[in-house]
Amino acid sequence: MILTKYRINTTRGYVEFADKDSEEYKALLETEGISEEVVTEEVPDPIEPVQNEEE
Amino acid sequence: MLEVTPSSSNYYIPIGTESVKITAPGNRNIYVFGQKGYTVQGQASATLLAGQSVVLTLSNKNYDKSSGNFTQAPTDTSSPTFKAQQVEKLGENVLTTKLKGLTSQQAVDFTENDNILTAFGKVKALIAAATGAVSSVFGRTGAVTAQSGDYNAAQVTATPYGTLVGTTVEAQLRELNNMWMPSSTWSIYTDWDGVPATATINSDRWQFSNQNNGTAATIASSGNRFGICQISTAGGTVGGVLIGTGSVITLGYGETYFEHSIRIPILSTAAQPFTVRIGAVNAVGGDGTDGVFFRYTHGTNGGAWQIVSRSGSIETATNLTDAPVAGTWYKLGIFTNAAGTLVTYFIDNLSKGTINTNIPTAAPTSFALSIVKLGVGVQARTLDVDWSFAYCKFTAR
Repeated sequence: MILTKYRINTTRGYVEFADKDSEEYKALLETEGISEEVVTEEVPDPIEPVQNEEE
Repeated sequence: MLEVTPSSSNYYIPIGTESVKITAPGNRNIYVFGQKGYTVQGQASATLLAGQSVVLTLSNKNYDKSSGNFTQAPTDTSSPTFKAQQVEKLGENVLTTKLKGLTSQQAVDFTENDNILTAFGKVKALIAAATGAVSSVFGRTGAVTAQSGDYNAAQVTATPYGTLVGTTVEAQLRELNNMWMPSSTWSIYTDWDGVPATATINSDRWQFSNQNNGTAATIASSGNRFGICQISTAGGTVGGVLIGTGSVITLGYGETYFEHSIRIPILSTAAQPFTVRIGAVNAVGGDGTDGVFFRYTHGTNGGAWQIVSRSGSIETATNLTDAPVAGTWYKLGIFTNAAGTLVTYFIDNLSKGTINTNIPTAAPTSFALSIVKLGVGVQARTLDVDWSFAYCKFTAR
């Protein structure tokens, strides 16, 4: 699955958001943001618990 | 009423006098004397703290009632004794003395039923109160020593330590009790001393996942590090391994702690790049959808650690200044508060930073660690783990 995210870079790292229009995004961009960018990521399937196979 | 106005610094209260009123400003000694022919038993005194000098003493000097004068000490110089029942009542005597260091006069009201000893007790209590001392402890007077039952555990303060947040001994003992009750706690621990050579693991609690030919196996112990598991990319450009619990842990249901003791034998380079993730991560080949972990690769943040919290594949990443040193053991701990609103990251017990966004409270993650090659170079790279420990103290279950 390809996921699109909105990232705000700060002096200490970055914070990603799913929604660029959220109040949290705007607030962080204003207070700590030094740049913003759109990133995509191919997300692998998570490891699910497995049932042990009988010998 | 007999009013005594001595000119010296000593005041004399004759026993047997029906009433006495003295006013004693300044530093004074107050003596109570036995009558002639009476014996004085013991000695009662009240000594002030430094800077104050009112002293109350039972003495064996004589008072001549007919002349109203005090006489010399009796010729009988044997150890004076005084029996309380021989002392006549003091009546409604009022002893007023101004103690040095006080801002006002203090009055002691004697009642008709007071004998000399209870009268002294009242004066001593006044002096004790004036000097900030206490007259009794747990109802016991004198040289009080501790007794069982003086305090209960809820009355003994305790300093929060580690994950214990209670501020009394009682509260912390309850936390410890609840910590390991299966009904209220999930926990897991391994020292990695018996990983099968085939590296399938897959016990009832630990799982092995790989891409390409990644492996896991126990390697030789080293000193006090009993049992070491080494996971390896095992050659190829994209080999990877994850060992963990599977995605069963969702944050926000109670205080949660993840801890791995790890070592990176050879660091990532441009020729042989790889990424390790330590903490809780739920994908072998990448960051996964949900997790909280330390992340390292040479090409990001100058090769220093990042701390990451990730929910629904959207993450917050904070750069640390601490960089791993090849072949050095580190204890990496991640503590999440009960509400799942704050994650704190520790390296060797020292807090390195917190994250309060993108915490995985909506979907489960896996208590795990992983290593994966990044598509360049075919040499195997490894990650060693000495132990793994995690718990959750459920808020309710």
